[in-house]
Order: sequence, then structure tokens, then C-alpha cells
Amino acid sequence: MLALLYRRTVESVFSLACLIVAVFFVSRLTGDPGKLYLPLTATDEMIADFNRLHGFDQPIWVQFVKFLGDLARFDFGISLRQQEPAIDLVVQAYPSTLFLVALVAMFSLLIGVVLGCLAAFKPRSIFDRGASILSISAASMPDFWVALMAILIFAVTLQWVPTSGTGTWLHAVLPVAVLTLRPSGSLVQVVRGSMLEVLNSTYMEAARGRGIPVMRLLFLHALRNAALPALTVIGVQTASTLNGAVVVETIFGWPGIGRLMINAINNRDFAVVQAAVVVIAIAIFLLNLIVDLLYGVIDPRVRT
Amino acid sequence: MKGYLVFVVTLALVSVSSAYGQDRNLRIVVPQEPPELEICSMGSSAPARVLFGNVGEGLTQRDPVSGAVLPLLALEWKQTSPTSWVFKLREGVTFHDGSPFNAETAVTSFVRTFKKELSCASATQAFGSLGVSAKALGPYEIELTTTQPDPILPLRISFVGMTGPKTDPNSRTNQPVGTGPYQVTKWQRGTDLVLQPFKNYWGKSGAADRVTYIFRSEDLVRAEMIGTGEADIAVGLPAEFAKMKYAVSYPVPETTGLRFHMQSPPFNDRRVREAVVYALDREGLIAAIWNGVGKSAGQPITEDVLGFNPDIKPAPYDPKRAKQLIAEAKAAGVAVNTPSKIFTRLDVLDNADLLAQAIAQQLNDIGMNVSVEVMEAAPWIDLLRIHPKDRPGFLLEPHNNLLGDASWTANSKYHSKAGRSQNRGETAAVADAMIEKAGAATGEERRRLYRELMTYLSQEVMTDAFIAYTNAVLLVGPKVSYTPNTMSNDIVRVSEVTFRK
Repeated sequence: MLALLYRRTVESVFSLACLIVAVFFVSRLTGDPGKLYLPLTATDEMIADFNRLHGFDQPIWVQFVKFLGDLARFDFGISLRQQEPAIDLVVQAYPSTLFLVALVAMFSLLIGVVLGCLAAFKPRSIFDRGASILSISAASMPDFWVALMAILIFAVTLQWVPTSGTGTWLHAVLPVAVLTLRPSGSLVQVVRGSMLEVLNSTYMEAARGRGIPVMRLLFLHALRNAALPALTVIGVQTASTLNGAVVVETIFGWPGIGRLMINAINNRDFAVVQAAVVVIAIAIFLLNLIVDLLYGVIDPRVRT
Repeated sequence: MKGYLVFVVTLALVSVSSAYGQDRNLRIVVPQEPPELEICSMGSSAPARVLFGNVGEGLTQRDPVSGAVLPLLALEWKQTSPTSWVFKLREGVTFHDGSPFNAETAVTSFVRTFKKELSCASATQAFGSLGVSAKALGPYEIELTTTQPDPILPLRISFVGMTGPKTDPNSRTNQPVGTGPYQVTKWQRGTDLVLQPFKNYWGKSGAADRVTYIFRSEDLVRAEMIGTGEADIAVGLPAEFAKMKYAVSYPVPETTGLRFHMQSPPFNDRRVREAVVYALDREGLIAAIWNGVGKSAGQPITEDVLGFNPDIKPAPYDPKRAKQLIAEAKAAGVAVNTPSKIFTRLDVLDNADLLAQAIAQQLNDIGMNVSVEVMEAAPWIDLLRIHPKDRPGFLLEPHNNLLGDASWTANSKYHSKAGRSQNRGETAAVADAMIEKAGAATGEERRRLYRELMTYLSQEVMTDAFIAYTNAVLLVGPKVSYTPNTMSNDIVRVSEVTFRK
């Protein structure tokens, strides 16, 4: 198990290094920050002054060496737009995204596992067909459309919840519900598929023959064997939410990292983009490590 | 009788207590969170919505209705030489941190605003390359000296907010200390920003006891927040919301047009440019793309801007005349079928892509070869500044004149020293001379000269095909009363909002 962790860590550090290099150079290819920051009436001289003051006139490798030196101290510099240390802005925004991630992962898992298991228990029944239709629909509906419809129905027409924002648990209902739809839909499909395979195996028939209660059979013995694909799916889905649920955060005015990063990209606020990418990459690295550990717990063959 | 009396007294008490305890929390939902709260940048859009006139105040202010420059922290001023002005300051004004406002603090504010290291938007936007230095002449009197003669300095300085003397002179700050009727008491990034009344404000206080700015970039959410009672004013909404309940549509100092690339065929030929001007069905475009919100345009500035020429009417929609002009140009050897593009970007204009597509269709109908290229911000700005010869076509461009004076438009867009100008050669020399003459003039003479310039650019040279004078939309909820003015898309002065009984 330790060997697995070591291997994964080395791979992740290498990926992180490549990512940092790519983000640094690609973001600088996207345009002159001086032109975007200053008003259209700014003269060429003003733009040149601005770039000189912020070091954007230096050769790109000089900027990169400075960036690496600062990175060693986890200092990403001051946000060009927001006049605050970039890492502080990221650290302020990330807990809001992590809160969403945790709730979405929990509800997706709950819905996916329960519906997937029950659907697989009686294949081709009305429940199975209903669960399949709903889960496929949920997995294929675009977030932005669902979010706007949810606001119009539940906030504007029924007035059960606020349209957007933060502050009370009611504010989290719509963003969490919208973000849960897609992963839970995928999970229902995956859990159902793997459960069907397990439930049709000979050892499960033997277990049924020994009279083990249905629920125990389903959620303990069968589920454990069908859990690996589900774990893969929930890992991938959670990683994409860790990236910042950009659309949902923007629509619901949720102060997470996705919204922060999009604004930073649009404004060529390099310091914030770099800080956000590094923090997100570290979070995804940790998540993958947890998923790997869970693989080992569920399937002892992975440990070797 | 006794029961009746008890009822009346109870009713009166309830009325008094409810009036006394009326909710005076004003909630304004805006599309963008201000990235910073630096008073020296209070002229740029997102900070302006919070700071301008609420937290930060200048020496003067522009009346958005009459266009007149009115006293604010300066009571009177006079021009003492072509490059010098003396301003008498208001006494008894204090900053939010209790420091007194006087000549010394006014000078410090000007020096700070024009410091290169701070890249203050107020300096870049309103002054361009014009330099300003400040000197105290007495405890409440200052002299401002410009690097070139500038007859509209009192108007320009309305964008320069006075900053408390303890503000760091060498770096930007997010803790604004101004003299305005409200001060920032809480800013939770990404969530909301709160202003509360400044108890020692020198002027008339606003009606709101608390102002909360909420940030929602999704238009539908902003609009619906008025209906659900989560906000009282929603600003920056696109035209499609103009017919919604609580919506108010109002003109802003912005003109949308196609800027011709006049350096390469086919638009280096005036007949082709004129054909484009006649080929546009402006009223049809406004109705179809902007829900009927806006007015056909014929010149780069709107009627509230000094220098607007009321005699210039928008060109009629006349495809026959346009086809005839194209045929004439073709017969004279102009490559009218040169593939040309309408360069635009989605974030500069409501439905920019739809508008560009509709225009391309109308131009192709008269025999041109036009397509659309939707661009990202950075390359579009590059093209706006320097339009290379190998990219024939137009820039679909909104132009905003928040200053209220044609010099802003003339110098930044049409003088050959401005990189953006597409005018070259003889016509450019004429335009430059007209711009410089008008810029040095004052009063009615200034108005007349700018009117002539507008005629020259719009009808003789035809630098652009103007489409529409833009209208903006905001929603005002049932709890409050607010009448927008031409500047309200960028600046909402909270003290102009009242609460309905």
C-alpha cells in the first residue's frame, strides 16, 4: 500500500510541475494585461509604463524564474485587479467550493447507490425503468439550463428558496441540487450495471440460497463487490466539482473558486489564475490519493 | 365607544411604530463585484457603481440632465491662464476617518491620482495624456495647472475623488476614505458589500440607513431578485428585460456603430462606406435585436453630450441607393467583393453576435461579401488599437462618452494621434485641425465647432456607419423610488433613492 502511495505521489508531483509550467506560459500567450487593465483611452506610453511597473516587459524566462522563486515560498504575488495577495483570495474562495463538493459527493453517493442497487435488484421492473429514464435525463441535462429552470420554479414561482446567494442553509439548496443531478445520474447507471453483474454471479445465488436477508445481501455483500466502478465515477465527478462549478457558482452568485478563476482569466490576472490552478491541482491530487486508498480498502488486490 | 378608542389608539401606535421602524435597507444588485475599492479609480465601471458620489466625491460634479458642471467640494473656480485654474474649496468637510478636507488634502489627492505607479483609472480615463499638477494657494484654495490648455478641466476633475490624507500615497488600497454621504463598513468578497451613512457628512444625507450591494452576473437572476423581494434595484440589464414588470429603460451616452477599416479595399472607397450607411435597417435591427430599446444613430455622440449635432439625422434605410453606390464603385474598379469581416466580442454589447449576423446579412444583400468573427477581449482590443491592412472589415464597437463633452470622443477616437483613428491623409489632417480648434474653444463656440466636426466625420468622411444610441435597462422594486439618468448605468447615487411610504 505504501508503495502505491509513493508511486502515486511521484506521478502527481510530476503532473503538478508540468501543469504549473503550462499555466504560466499559456496564460501569457493570451494577451497583454496592460491593454485589458487600462481603459481604452490609455495611450501606448501608459500601457508600456504599466507593463514595466508590473514586470510584464521582462523576457518571459526572467518572469518564469521569478515566478518559480516566489512559488517556492508559496507566494503568487498580488492580484492585479483586486490588490490583495492572490493566495489569500483563493484561500477565501475555496471553502465555499469545498462545501458544495462535500454535499454534492454525499448526496450523489446516497442517491446513486440506493437507486442503482434497487434498480438492479428487480431488472426491467417499473422502478428499474423509471430510475434509468430519470438517471439518464439527470446525467445529460446541461447545468446552466437546469439552474435557471430551478430558479424560475422554486425561487420565483413557488418562493420556497432564495434565487441565489449565501447566508442560510436554504441558499445552498438549489446549487447543491443542481450540481448533484449529473453525478447521481451517472452513478445510478454505473451502480446498476455493476450490481447486475454481481447479483447474477454464482456466489450471490449461493448466498440467496443460504437465506441471507435481501437488504444485507444487497447493500453489504453485493455492493462491496460492485463498488469499484462507482468509486471511479464519484472520484472523477468530485474532481470536476473541485475545479470549481463555474456555471453553477456564477448563476447562483456562489463565492467559490470557479467564479474567482473565470474572472481572473477574463482580466488576465495571472497571479490569481496561477494560485487557483496550483491549489486546485493539490486538492485533486489529495482526492486521487484518497480514492486510491479506498480502492485498496475495497479490493485487496490493488494493494500489491 | 371605549373599544373604538382603544382601536384608534392601537392603530395610531402601529402606524407610528411601523413608519419609525420602516426597513430602510437598500439592496442594489449589480452584475460585477468591484475588483477593488480604490477611490482614484472610481471612474471605472464596477467601482463607480459603489464609490462614485456615494463614498468618493470630486471637487465638481456633472449634472447628468443639463450637462452643466456644478460645485461639489469646490464652491467656485476661475481660469487664470490657458493652463491654470484656481478652485475655492468648501469648508467644514471631513473625511470618513475624521481628517479635515482642505487645500492640502485636495493637493495630496490630485498628486496620488496622477502617480504613474498607481495606474489610476480616473486619470487615464478622463485626462488621457493631459498632465495635471496641483498647488495649495491658501487653506481652502488650490491651483491646478495642466500640461496643455484645457477649457473643460472643471468637468474632467469631477472624476477625481478626494482621498483621506492617511491613505497610502504609494500603493492602491481597498479601504476607501472619502468625503461622501456613505462609507464602506463591510466587504465580504464574492458575497456582498455594505455602505452605511457617514454621520458627519457635510451635505444632505440619503434616505437609506444601510446599502447592500449584491453581485450576480446572471441577468435573469438579477431581474428576478426584484420580483422576489431579494433586491430593490437591479442594474445593467440587457434590452430583453425592458418590458418586464418594474423595468425602466433610459438613454445612456453610448453609440453603437461599425468602424470602417479605411486603409484597405473595399472601405477605402467613400462610395462603399456610404453604401453601408444606407444598407442598414437601423429600426429593424433595434426592434429585432434589442427589443425596440434604443434609437437610430447618425453620429458618434448622444444628445446629452456637448457637441451633439441635432441637424444630423440617421441615414434612411435605402437598399436601392446602397446597391447603386456599390455598382458605381465596382464600375470604377473597386474590389467591392473583397471578403470583409465584422469583428466583435460578446461582452461589449447585448446580443453582439446576433447584431453582427443581421448586419452581415443586410450588407450581403447589397452585393458585398461580409462575414462575422466573434473575438476574445484581448485580440479585439489589439484590433481596436491597430487595425492591420490584411484584415479588411469593420469593428462593431460601442462608444461611451461618460465625460459629457465631445472632446473625449474626438481625441480618443478620431484624432490621428489616437491609435484607434482609421482616418488618414488629407481628411485626417482636416479632422485633426478641427479637433484641436474645437478643443481649445469654450462655451457656444466650442459647441458649434464640435457640431461641425460631427458633420465632417459622419457625413463627409464617413468614418463609421452608426447604428443606435443605446438605452440601458434597470429594475426598480416596489419599496423604493429612483429615476435613472444618463449616467445610471455606471453611477447610481444612493442619496437619489427614496423609500415609498
